[in-house]
Amino acid sequence: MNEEDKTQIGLSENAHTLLQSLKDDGFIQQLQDGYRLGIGLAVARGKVAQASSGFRTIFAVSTIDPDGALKTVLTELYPEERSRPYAFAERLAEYGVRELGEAHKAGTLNIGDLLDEAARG
Amino acid sequence: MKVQGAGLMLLSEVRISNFGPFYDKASIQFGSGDRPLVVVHGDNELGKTSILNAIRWGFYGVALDRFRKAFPLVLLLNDRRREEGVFEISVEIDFADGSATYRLTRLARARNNPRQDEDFLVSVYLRRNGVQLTREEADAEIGRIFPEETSRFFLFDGEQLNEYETLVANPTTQVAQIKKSIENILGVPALTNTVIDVEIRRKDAARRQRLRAASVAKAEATASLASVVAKEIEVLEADVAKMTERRTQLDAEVHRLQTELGREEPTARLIENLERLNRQMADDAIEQEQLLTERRPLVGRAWLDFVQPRVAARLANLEAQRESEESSLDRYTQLVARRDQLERAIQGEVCSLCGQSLDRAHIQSLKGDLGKVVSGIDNLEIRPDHRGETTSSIKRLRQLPPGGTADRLRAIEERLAGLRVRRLGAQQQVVDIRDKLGTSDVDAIRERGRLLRQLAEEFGQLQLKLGDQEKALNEKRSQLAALEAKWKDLDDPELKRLNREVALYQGLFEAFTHAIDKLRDALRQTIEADASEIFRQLTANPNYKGLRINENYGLTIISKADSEISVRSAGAEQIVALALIGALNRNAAIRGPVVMDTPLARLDLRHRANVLKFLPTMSEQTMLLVQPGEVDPARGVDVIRGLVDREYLLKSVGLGQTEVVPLHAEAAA
Repeated sequence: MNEEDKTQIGLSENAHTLLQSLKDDGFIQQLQDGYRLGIGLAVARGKVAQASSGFRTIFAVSTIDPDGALKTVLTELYPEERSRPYAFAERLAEYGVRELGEAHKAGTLNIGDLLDEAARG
Repeated sequence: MKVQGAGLMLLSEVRISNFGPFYDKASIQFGSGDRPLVVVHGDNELGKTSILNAIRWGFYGVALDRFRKAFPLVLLLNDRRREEGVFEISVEIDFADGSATYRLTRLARARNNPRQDEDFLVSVYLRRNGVQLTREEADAEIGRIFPEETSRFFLFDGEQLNEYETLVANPTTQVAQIKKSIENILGVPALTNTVIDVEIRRKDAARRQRLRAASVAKAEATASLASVVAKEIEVLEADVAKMTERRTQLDAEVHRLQTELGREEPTARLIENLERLNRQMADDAIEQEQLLTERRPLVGRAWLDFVQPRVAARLANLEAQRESEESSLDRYTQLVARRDQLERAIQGEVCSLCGQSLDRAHIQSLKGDLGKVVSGIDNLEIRPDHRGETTSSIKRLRQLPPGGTADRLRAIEERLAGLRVRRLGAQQQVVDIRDKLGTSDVDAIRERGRLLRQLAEEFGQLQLKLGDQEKALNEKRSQLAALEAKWKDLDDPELKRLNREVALYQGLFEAFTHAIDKLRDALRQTIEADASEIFRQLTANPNYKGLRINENYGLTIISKADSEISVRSAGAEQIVALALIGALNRNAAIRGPVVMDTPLARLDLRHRANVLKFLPTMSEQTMLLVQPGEVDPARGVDVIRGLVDREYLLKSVGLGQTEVVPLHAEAAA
């Protein structure tokens, strides 16, 4: 029997701190904006973090994906994760938020460049 | 033209105590007669200008910097004396005027370490032939013998001679002030004061005339109106006088600030650049904040733009898959129809197309075809039940909301990067400018710039107002004259007498005014002739014929071809200014010693020799405060050797401390 998908998702402690810095420094309005952006970046790069039991819950999935668009994207792009898209989203966010947060810390975060990179595939 | 009976004042000795770099006491004695020159040699910052200032302060209680701005008294106190707790400055001047001898003492003393001029108590004592005069008598006596208004022609800085260049420029209040000083030294006030006196008397007679007219029946109404107009004239005159005085103050202040700012121009330009950079950085910071504010909600939706390329690729795959599925479905339908047809034919042993009976061989062949068709159906991957799934995926992906943020986010990031680069450049420039500014008093220079703009605006407004008031005043004067004219033929003896008195004063007023114009013309011609003669002595340029004077006593060089030389060098300016001062001294109503600081700095060697020969002839007594490059003590003084009574050397004896050493005593030592 398949394991049920997550209804609460989050990040590792470290990634959460980075996400909070993005908000505190005014790069994002709300934490969920940065979380979704992290997922977007991970999808664009085709990267994902290792599954971990050390993620700290931050959001209900309804907060991150109120209209189901994220679930659609993930189930269509990752059919193998179709049964647990939000559990997978958590790993994508972990990768993406770390990347964004580290670049922000280094002063090199340029969303225009990242969009160009995503467009090149 | 020599002014008859001109007074002659001669200095005997100046004693300076704790003034500027002069710690304790310093003394300089003066020669006269055949040996009118005293030469004081000194390097920069050893106190040449302080000696000039000590004499000026002694006589007038004011010391001036090179821009004619008064030095605060607190800055005149010798630094070492201040450290020792001695807060006393004094200057004592022994001089003679005719047969009378004088000792002038000016003393400034503070109880505690002075922080401002008000902390000093200043005393002035003047003894004539050993008898102490009262303060009022002392002021009057100095005003008569060596008046402050004319001191610019006796106590001057060679570096300031270029101010006479302004006399050939457009008339300004500053020019008017110098012109007034020139006319003071030439004795014009004797006539101008008479005109003022006559005007006072004319007004008084006119007042009595109006009073009388008021008692004459036929003039009663006009007299009453004339009194009202006369009052209005008084008010307007007072206004005009007040405004004129304020205009003079403003002009002087504007001139001073312009001079100071001119001197500080490189610094002012740096400050201007600094302010421009600060403004640019402030504007950039606002734009940056606006861009960041705009970026935040866009970032919130940007995840969709990040996934969009992969979604698009997935959609393309799904669409290709659906096309393949549709093609497979068509093939499946065809194969199923063929299978059904073959099964029917085999079962009924009748051809489904022509209805003829089939023999065993045909049936066997059809069974072979049926096997292939069934195998083809079994080999098809896509089945009708797959088709709906692909279409749903396509539909779901197509329904995703658009991101639509990418283009704007790229533009914002590009602009933010541009602003960052510009800010870094500006910050570096600010650091460089601050380094260059060093310890400059930026706030003070800014404040001067602000004050200059403010005063220049006030000056402009005042000029307009003054023009209006003067126009109104002339109108009222014409109105009053017209009213007074109506009393001319009235049959009242006293009124007739007063009419004659007013007319007499009016006539005198016009005659003296005319005489002033005549005197000025005559003086200008004399000054032009004398200045030209001196100029020819001083100049080393054989192509120059002389000088031409203008209304303001400004002098222009005239070539031998009789054309005006409009552009002149700093050295030529100095020669022309010396020629003017020499001519003024020759024609002065007041005669006194000339003390000249750095007289030759701008001149080449030939001109220096010419000027050195000329200076002793300028006055009965001349003190030259020279720096080493100006007059070589060994050779340069040869030109004037027989005319020098004494030479002194300013010698540094510690930081900010100078001693005045008689030069020959120094050489002997």
